[in-house]
This record gives sequence, C-alpha cells and structure tokens, in this order.
Amino acid sequence: MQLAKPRSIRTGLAAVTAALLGPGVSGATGEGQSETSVLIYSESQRVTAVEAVYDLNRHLKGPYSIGLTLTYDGLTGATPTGGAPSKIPQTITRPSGGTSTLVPAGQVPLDNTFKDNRFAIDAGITRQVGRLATLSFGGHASAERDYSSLGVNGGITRDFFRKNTTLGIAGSWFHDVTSPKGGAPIPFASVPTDTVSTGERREHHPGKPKNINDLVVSLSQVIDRKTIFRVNYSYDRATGYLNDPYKVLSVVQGLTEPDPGEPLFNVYENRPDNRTKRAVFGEVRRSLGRNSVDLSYRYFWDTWGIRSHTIDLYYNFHVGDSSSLEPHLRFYRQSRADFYHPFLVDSVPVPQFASADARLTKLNAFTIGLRYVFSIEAGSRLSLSAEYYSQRGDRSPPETFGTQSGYNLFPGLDAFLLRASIIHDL
Amino acid sequence: MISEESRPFTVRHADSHWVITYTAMASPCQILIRCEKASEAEELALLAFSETSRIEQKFSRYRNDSVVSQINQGGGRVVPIDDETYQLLRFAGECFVLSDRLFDITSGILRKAWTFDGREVTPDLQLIESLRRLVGWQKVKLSAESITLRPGMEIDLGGVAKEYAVDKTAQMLFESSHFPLMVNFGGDLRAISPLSIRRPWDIGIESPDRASRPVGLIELVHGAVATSGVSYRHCFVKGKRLGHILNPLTGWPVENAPQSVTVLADSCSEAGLLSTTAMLQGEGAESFLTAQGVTYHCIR
Repeated sequence: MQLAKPRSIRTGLAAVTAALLGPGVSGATGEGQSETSVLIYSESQRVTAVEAVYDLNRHLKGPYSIGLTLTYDGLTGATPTGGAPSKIPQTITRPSGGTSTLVPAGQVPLDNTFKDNRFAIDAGITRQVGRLATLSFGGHASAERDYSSLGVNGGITRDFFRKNTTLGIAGSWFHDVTSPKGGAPIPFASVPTDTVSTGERREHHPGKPKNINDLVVSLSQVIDRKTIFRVNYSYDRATGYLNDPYKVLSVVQGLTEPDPGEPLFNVYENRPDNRTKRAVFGEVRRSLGRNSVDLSYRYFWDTWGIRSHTIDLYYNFHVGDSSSLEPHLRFYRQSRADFYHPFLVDSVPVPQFASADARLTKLNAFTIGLRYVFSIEAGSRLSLSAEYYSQRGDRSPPETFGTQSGYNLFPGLDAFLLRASIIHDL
Repeated sequence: MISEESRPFTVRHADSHWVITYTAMASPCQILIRCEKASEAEELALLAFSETSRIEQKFSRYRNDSVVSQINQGGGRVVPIDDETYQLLRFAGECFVLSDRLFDITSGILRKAWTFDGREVTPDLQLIESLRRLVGWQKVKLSAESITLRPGMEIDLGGVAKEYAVDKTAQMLFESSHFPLMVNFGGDLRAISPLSIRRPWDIGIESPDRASRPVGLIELVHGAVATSGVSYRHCFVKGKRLGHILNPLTGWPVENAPQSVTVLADSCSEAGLLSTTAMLQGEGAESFLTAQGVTYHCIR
C-alpha cells in the first residue's frame, strides 16, 4: 500500500508549545536572545535618522551572563539654530566659512547641513550571587565627528520575600568630550556672517569635557499573580561643558530702536556648567488573560527649572496563535528652562545664561504607535512598529514684541518612526 | 522547620550535583541539580515539590477535586476555567489539529470497550460505536473563560499534564536558581544546562521489559525526552495480537504500534506529543518521526 508521505508538524508544535510554556522556551532554555533592528526616523522637512542596532544577551559559564549592544546612527537634515525670524532673508554661515544657507523672511532659521554618524558600543556582565542577588558591571563608548563618550556602570539587585520584591541600585559615570569644528564658541560672541568675520570667537582647546554621574534606586513588587508594580528614583548630575556649540540666539532691536523686534545679529548661547536632574517613575503591569496592559508615569525636575510629566500606556493583545499587537500612547509635557530666551534684546543687559534651544522651552508632545510581533519559525520573531510623534511648543512666548509678535517662534514638529527587528532565542 | 520524617521529598548529594526525589503524578520524580550548598538544594526541593503537586492536584482525573473532574462532571453545562487550564486545553486542542485528530484528550472513554489482559476478546461493536460518538475534540466548546463538553464526554489530560509538569518544574527551578538541572518524572524528562556543554546529562533508554541493561544512551546538554508505550498490555482478536494504544478515529487498537517510542525535543511537552502521535501511526511510526527531523528510538 502506498502511504502518503508524513508531513512535519514540528514547527507548528513548537509555536503552540511556546504559547503554553511562555516565550523563549521552545528551542531555547533561557540561554539568551539576540535582536537585530533597523529604525528610520523622519521629521517632516527636518531631520532624518537611520539607526541600526545589534543586541545580544547570553548566559555564560557558571553564574555569568553578558550583554552587548552595537549601535550605528546616521543623521541628516535641518535643525533650528535658535535664531529668530527676520523680515528679510537671513544667511547662516558655517563655522569654517564654507557653505551658507539662505533662510526665507519670517521663518525660524534652520541649519540644513546637520549631518552626523555615531557609533556606540555597550557591553556588560552580570553575575548571579546565590539565588537572590545579582551584580553587574559594564562599559560604554561612543564616537561621532565632534563628540565622544566613555562610561562605566555597575549595579546590584536583591530579591526579598520569596522573590516578590526586588530592590536594585545602579550607578554610572560618563566622561564626554565635545570637539566642535573650529573650537568651542565663546559664549555670547557674535556669530560671523558673510560680511562681518573679525575678532576671536572660538576657543582653541581641542575639546570641552563633561562628566555625568547618575544613580538609580528601584523597587519592583509583585502584587498578585497578574500584577507587578515598579518604582524608581533617579539622580543625575552633569558638570562641565553643557552648551550646544551649534545653537545661537538672535539679538533683536529694542522698543526704542527703529525696527523693534527685528534681529540685528546672532550670538552663541551660554548655559550653566552644571545640571542636576531628578525623576521619579512608577509603572503598573497587569496581565488580562492572554493580554496585558502597562501604564507608567514619570515626573522629572532639574536645576535648570525644567519640570516634565510623561505618561505611557501600552496594551498588548494576542492575535491568533503566535502573534501580538501592541498599541502605544504617550503624552509628554515640559515647562521651560529658567534661562530660555527666544531672543536677546539690544540695549538690555545680557543675562548670565541664555539659550534659545527649542528643546528647553515649554512644549507638549504625544506619540501614537502600533507594534506587531509574529513568529517566523521556532525561536524567532519579527517585530514591526510604526509611531507618529507630534510636538507643539510656545509659538509666541510672553516676552515677544515688535516684528517677532507676527512670527511663529516654535514651528511644530511631526515625525514618523518605523522599526523592524528580528529576535532570535538562543 | 520541617522535620526529616514528615518531608515529602529527599535530598542527597552525589558527586557533582544534588539529587531531589519524591513521588508525584504516579511516577518516581527525580531532580538532579548542580547547585553548591545543601541549603540551596533544600529550598529548590521544596519549590519543585510544591509546583509538581500543584499541577497534579489541578489536572489529575483521579482526584474528585481536580479541575479535570469538575469539567468531566459538567454533564453538558458550561464549566468556568482559569487561564492556566485554558492554555493547557488550548495546547491539547492545537495538538489534535496538528496530529490530524489522532491525539485527542477526549478519547480515554474508549478504554471502557477493551480489556488488555493478554486474552482473546470479542469486541462489542455496538459499545465501541456508541463510545465513538462521545469522542472528538471538535465537539468541545472552549473559550478563554469556560469549557463545555457534550453530556457523557470526558477529557483526560494524562497525555499532556505530566509533560507539562516536567517543563514547568524545570523552568521554574532554572528561573529561580540558574543552576544546570534535569527534571525526570518516570522517564519523561527535561534538562536545562546552558553552562556545561562538556558535561552533558547521560540518559539511558530502558528496554520495555525493564531489563537491567539500557538499550540506548542519549547525551543531552539541554532539551527533553519523552517516551510512550513501555507496556506489554495487549489482547487478541481472532488470534491477532493488538496492543493497548487506541485509535480515537476507529475506536480500535492501533495495529503494529511499536512497543515504545522515545523522542528528543526542545521541551517535554513537544517530545510527549511527538512520541504519542508516533505510536498512533502504527506501522508508520518511524517514517512519521523521520519526517519530523527529531532524534528518536523506536522499540518493536
């Protein structure tokens, strides 16, 4: 008798077993995971970024496990300089002379030569100590054309009360160096233009250093079989060169001058040389049968006067046997830094610190996204996600007067983010 | 402090590991774990025993208070179930589909029509026919919250609960300790040892007559082994010998089934499903297993 050739049910079986026993079990035994992802971030008419990440977590001999992350970022596009709009077209000149950009009248100046490549490596090792504690240690290095960063970090976690409670403390130290082309600009020195380029405006140091220390204390508590609650407090202190060497402020004509509000020239910004950031974070994750929901809130405050609130909501639900959909919503709101000035006024005393960086002003943002994860074979998953990000700020800050009153000083930002990752269980 | 006498498990030290033993799920349960301290082994033994007992109490059909008994006593009514029960039933349902209806947790009732005591029997065709109407997973209504059987139908999770208990116990011990370990419940076993490729677990395959010499040896670094069969129970119909494995589609014993099938897979749940389904293929057991691309031992 001719029998039909038996078909293989192994792949289907692996998928249903993974559903029964939890992810990362079939074909793997908790040895680790690797993830390769590509991300495209695009702001409408502004910055476009491409990021590629390889991430590996793996158990090693004995109680050790390692983590390794390699990242490449490529950025191109236009970013606001901090300068104010003018009723006549303006030109932006590069530090070295070189190319210049023409900004149309009435629009916020954008520097469209923004271009950088960044490479980063993060590596760490974790040791299980007994059944209840872990110790970890790691390092970080990254480099781009004008910025480098080196860091070390360490942490300890300890479980209590039959592993229902985990306490953790982690700290890190970074040493970063900013090396802008031509040297760091002298604070409040006027920015050279096509017609005026005299005087010393830049320091001739090879680089400007910055040190960052941070500390995070965290507590994770299992509330019941379906609910887990996490809180943490973080403290971050940065000292050194905290200016953005590419940001400027416009000096505009005062009320008694012929054309109030119209920019006269630009100067480089100046920020305090230290910043302490603190944040508290709380998160509840609850499983609802095969689905789960994750809600978190973060409150942030710093010595620059910025306060921010972030609310994140994720809802994960299973679709079919081996795929899941995860919608995501985020709201973000921040207040403006004490030394934020949309512009400086001629004939008014210059403040000690000033920046017109749009990231330091009052703004609201929201993100809406969707992630789809599906199994491609036993132990491998493909994750696709898309997000839309919208940022709206203070279009007309209270100190605006004269011609500036007629302009939008904070053009909104709309961005799309697409990410594809392949995850392999090892 | 639990006194030595009242403890339901024993813990002893062997050359490179600790050995935890207890009895559960109608099987001798043995756990080998490469931890360092006696106190760790004791703590893990308690964890393992609690988890195994929990699963046994929940899914045994021999206990009146089990979830399975509640479902079987439903008599056509809707019986509410929790998430874990749903996941296990759903897994069994998926296996029913994958195996082309051969792996069926509603088929146990067919045993009422057969006696495998080695003698000649005259099958009661009417009884087989009436029991066959009570078999078939497609007749069961399952949702995330409840299950409904038709009146007279029964489920038996014997074919999945033990393998599930092996996997769950092994995973739970590994997640809470990260020590290399092997969980063995009467020959269905799971090893988790990502740490020592050079020191695999040696698994002997017992011959069906339980003679002293293993008939095969498997070196397992991590993964699982499950065996189906291992029984000489049979009967004769018109002089033809028939083994005790029943085909849920015909209600009759599977002809030419191997005496035992041992399969290696990533998890014990997968190995168990593959070995059981292979038995149900009868003559085609080996070709079925070859098509799966798994390592196996068939004894005929």
